[in-house]
Amino acid sequence: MKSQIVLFLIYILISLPFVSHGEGVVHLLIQESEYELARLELYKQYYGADSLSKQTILPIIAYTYQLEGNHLKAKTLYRRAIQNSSSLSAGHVDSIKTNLCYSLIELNEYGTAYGLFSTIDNNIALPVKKRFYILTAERNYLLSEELFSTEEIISFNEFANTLKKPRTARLLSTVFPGLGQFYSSHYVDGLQALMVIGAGTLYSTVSYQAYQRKQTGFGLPVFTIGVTALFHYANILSGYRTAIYRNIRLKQDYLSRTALTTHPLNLTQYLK
Amino acid sequence: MANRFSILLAIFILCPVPVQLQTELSYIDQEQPDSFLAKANKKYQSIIGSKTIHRCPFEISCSHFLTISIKNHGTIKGTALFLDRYFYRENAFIPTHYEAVIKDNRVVYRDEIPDSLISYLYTD
Repeated sequence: MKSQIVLFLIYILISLPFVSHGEGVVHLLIQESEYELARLELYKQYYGADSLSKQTILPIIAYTYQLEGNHLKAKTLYRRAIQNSSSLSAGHVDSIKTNLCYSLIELNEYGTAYGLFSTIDNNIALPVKKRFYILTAERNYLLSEELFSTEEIISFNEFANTLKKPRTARLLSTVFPGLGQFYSSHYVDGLQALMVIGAGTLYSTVSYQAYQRKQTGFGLPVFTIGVTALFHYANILSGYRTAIYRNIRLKQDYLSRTALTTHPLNLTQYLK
Repeated sequence: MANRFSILLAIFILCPVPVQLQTELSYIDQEQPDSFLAKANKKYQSIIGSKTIHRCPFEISCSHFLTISIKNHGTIKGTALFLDRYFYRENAFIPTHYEAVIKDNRVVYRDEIPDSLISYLYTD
């Protein structure tokens, strides 16, 4: 009986830190990528908390969704958190806005992110802002010297000049099958397009000559030319798309080269 | 003879016109009946696709890509986008051009360009 009482006391002693400091558990769970369990703990605190604590907890719930890669859900919760942030400090609100911008960039909602940037302090959102300017290099934004050093601006301009122009690629593919894909460095794609359309053109010519010699009806040349035209149209679309894919790849390489693969800001530090 | 040739030439040149018309119509009336190709694709997905090994290297499989592109761009442009993917872009050099992601314990390559990205970066 005595040993049982001692064991019970030891159990209480061990579990005391977790009872009194539930936030510590949340930290640990997020560090170990147990986001669902962290959310469970946070929701438990959220429904038992007053309105002031709720304003702190809601962005952290959104942060766990963001770490999981569910940016759509994170975006919704961050928006709600910003709307109800009357008692939070300016730095805290800027951190939430920065994380919202990160999710917006991941969801390709660049216009909204650009609008939000003007309301955030540069010191907090610097990595995310740099990431934004690299991912939207085609827009030719003027880089401010507050954010970028002179060397960075020169390197960025050199990188921006290497990007492909989708409209040029489309024009090249229209003039000659596969040329736009070659321009976008998708060499095998261009070669395949050239082979398919070349074969189609050859077959169309043969079928038309056969029609001229009255060896076949009118339907065969119409069919072959129609199918070749459809493949040529696909080739024009391909030229446009391959240039965009090339640009996406170039940007990813540049981000990894400049060590700018940023992560969202850690909001768990605001838990009391 | 010359008249027949001019008809063939007109078919070739005017190919984008029905595409444009179809796209405009699809904006007016969203719920159009499925075309023959869309129906055939659905049959393929239910009868053949669900019972065979999943071997498409891209993240959205080819049949799903066809379904989405026909829904968004109409039959002709949707089919052309599918032809582009199936005949031109699907080859052994996919890993060098597309981002690799893991889905269902399998490495696949992400092949999607969101409309929001194109409208923000490439249209004035």
